[in-house]
Amino acid sequence: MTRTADIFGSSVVAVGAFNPAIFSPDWLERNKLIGKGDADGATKSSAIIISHQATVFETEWFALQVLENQFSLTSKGALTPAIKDLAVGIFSLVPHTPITALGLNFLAHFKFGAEAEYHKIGDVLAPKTIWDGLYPEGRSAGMQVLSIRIQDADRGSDLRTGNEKRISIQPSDKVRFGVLMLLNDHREIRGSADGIFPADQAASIVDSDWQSSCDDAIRVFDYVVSNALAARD
Amino acid sequence: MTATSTVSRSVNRNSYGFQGYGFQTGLDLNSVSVRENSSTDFAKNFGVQDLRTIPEEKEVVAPSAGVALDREPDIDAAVIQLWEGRVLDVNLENDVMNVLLIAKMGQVPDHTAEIELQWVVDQDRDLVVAGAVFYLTLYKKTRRGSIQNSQELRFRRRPSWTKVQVQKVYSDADQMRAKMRARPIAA
Amino acid sequence: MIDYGAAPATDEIEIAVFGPGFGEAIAVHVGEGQWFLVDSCLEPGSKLPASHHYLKQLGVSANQVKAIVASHWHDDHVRGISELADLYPDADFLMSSALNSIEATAFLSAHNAITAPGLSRGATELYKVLQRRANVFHVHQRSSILELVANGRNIRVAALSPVPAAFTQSILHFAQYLPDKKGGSPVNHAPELKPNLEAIAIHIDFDGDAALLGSDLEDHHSCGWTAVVSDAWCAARHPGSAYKVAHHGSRTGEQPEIWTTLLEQSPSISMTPFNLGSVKLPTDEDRVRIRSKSKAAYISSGASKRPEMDAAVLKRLGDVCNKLTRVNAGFGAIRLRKQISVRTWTPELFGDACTL
Repeated sequence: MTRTADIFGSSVVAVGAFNPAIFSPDWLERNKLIGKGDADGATKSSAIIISHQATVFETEWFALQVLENQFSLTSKGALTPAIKDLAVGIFSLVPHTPITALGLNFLAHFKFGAEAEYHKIGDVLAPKTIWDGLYPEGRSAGMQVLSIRIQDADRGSDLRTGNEKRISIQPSDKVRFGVLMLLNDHREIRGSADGIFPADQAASIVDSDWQSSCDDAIRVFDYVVSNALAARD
Repeated sequence: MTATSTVSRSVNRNSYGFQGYGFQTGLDLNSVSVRENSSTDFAKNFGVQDLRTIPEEKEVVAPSAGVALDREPDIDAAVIQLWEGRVLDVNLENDVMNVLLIAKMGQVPDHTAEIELQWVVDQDRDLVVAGAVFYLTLYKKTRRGSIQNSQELRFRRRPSWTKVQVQKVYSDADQMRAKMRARPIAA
Repeated sequence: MIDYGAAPATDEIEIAVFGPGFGEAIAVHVGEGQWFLVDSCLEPGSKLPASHHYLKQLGVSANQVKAIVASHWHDDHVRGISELADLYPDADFLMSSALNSIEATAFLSAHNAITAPGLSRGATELYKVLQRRANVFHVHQRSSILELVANGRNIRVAALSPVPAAFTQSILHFAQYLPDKKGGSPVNHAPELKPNLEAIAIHIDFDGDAALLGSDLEDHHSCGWTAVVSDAWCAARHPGSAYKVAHHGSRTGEQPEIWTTLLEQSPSISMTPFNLGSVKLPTDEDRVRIRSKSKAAYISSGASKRPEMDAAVLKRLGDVCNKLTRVNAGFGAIRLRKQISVRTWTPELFGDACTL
């Protein structure tokens, strides 16, 4: 049975060149991407910023931050696929925006019943023995963050190119004796491929792949945690 | 406070620790604080116009000063199950909708159910029509150590078809139609 | 897992009807190991198309399937049909002539779950077939679906519907749900055309016997069953000794002259239920009416529809939902087999299939 995360969230992040001023709650509402309640709540909030340099606001279920070279849409509260629809909708409305990369990101906090389990995760994934030897007297080592990059085997010699997944694990700052796992499903957007604008490509990727990426994140998180806990001491 | 020259660095500014998408900043990140009622103050302090009223997509302009903002959206929900639902029909007399529920987590069979319209938030009421898609999430909300069962029902919103999308639909349609062949008449 | 036993003998004809609570598929053996398939649903254990799961168990090879008919595009009749088309690449693929219009193909293009995730599974299945196949055939009243020789007999499978008058209705229906060429509001799931006048009702002439497959065709004064039974050519078909009841036994799929014009007295009857939301077919009244036509009447599934999910989740869901019902509860198959020279069909019931 798949382990259920204590906290699970997602964000869609795009790198490119944006005009932050466009992405106001009012604009989203007029284009039928959010409801009036969400738009009013965000607009009336004291924390909203809309400018050429940055737009930042939140509703009950998402937070949007658009800078000149980054777009970030993050879930709040219970994750809903509506976050995917919103990202698709936004990108579809700005097809000419030159997006160069897209990240479908998922995070989960897992809480463990016992401190021993929490330490075991770190001990299995990053054994302490090699590190304890560095400063043996009165000092102890512990894993802070472990990050693994998964790329296509046939990517060639340039490690920086192509789609890839990055999985990381670190102590949780939200749950006691817990870990935070992150999966970044990174996609490159290649210019106007086949006459399709970059933002349209981004919309299409989010639309078709967000759910499978989410399913994969759940699988990966469960796999790593379960196997780490099941490993022999 | 003056804007420094643009500094490029990868900074893990997101509370979730997402790496890899560092952004360029023109300000010393450690000295920026975003206060309550900050939009107007911010605009005054940094010479940035509050452009809340600009409705249309504009050509991207080069930045004169970048802004780093440290926002940490609040997430504290453990999803128990998530369904994608479709409205089969709406019974306004009884204020209910009959729905099809397709579970998105695990191997759970499809179910139908009746949901009272009171569960639909006001801003989504006009979306409740036969054929509409919605998401139903059951989750546990954890706040300061206390756990509360909660649920959310949110209707899907998709933007209007763009001209490019419409063109693709009709181009697809032409291609498919060209494959259709008639059968002879039976004896 | 259901054990279907052995394949039919080469001189036997067979009609196998598969159905969970929501879905229908038919496999027909016309003799000498030659088959054609109508519609598709999923076998719950393997998640394979039910007809394929059946044929695989019987040891039928892909080249023995001569045709696949998608009698219409509704979700419950085409789940897995694109997979069937891939599994049997040499079989002709046929669909209703009501889909032979720009409005229909644009509808399939706009409403499928590839273009817009979450939308119609039915449209998605046919969209996939039309994308992957080089050619697809469209059929209407009097079209030949399949003609071959088996055991020295001329087997003729023909369409009794849709009638040309139904095409206009279909085009108008699809046109309502197309995106505006200037760009416009997005669409959700499009409702199905009611009544269903687009479906392909099929007559199988075994050259000495016949059968009628009613699909989901409903009645209408100028289209539908009235138009079928009023047509001289249709009325001249060999009356069927077996009938797959139209539209899950509903009153709207009923036309008294079906029984007097197209069927023999007391035919062997098979049917599938339809349970989705507030619609539950056949009703008790429907069952009484159909049983009055023949004692040899069978339905593919009558199983309990209790919810099936984790108990804790079920309890929580119960706070929000009433009348929670599993969609596909129980899966069954009705198989009718006989030699042509024998008068009556031998019925076999598998899984949750039972006497009506």
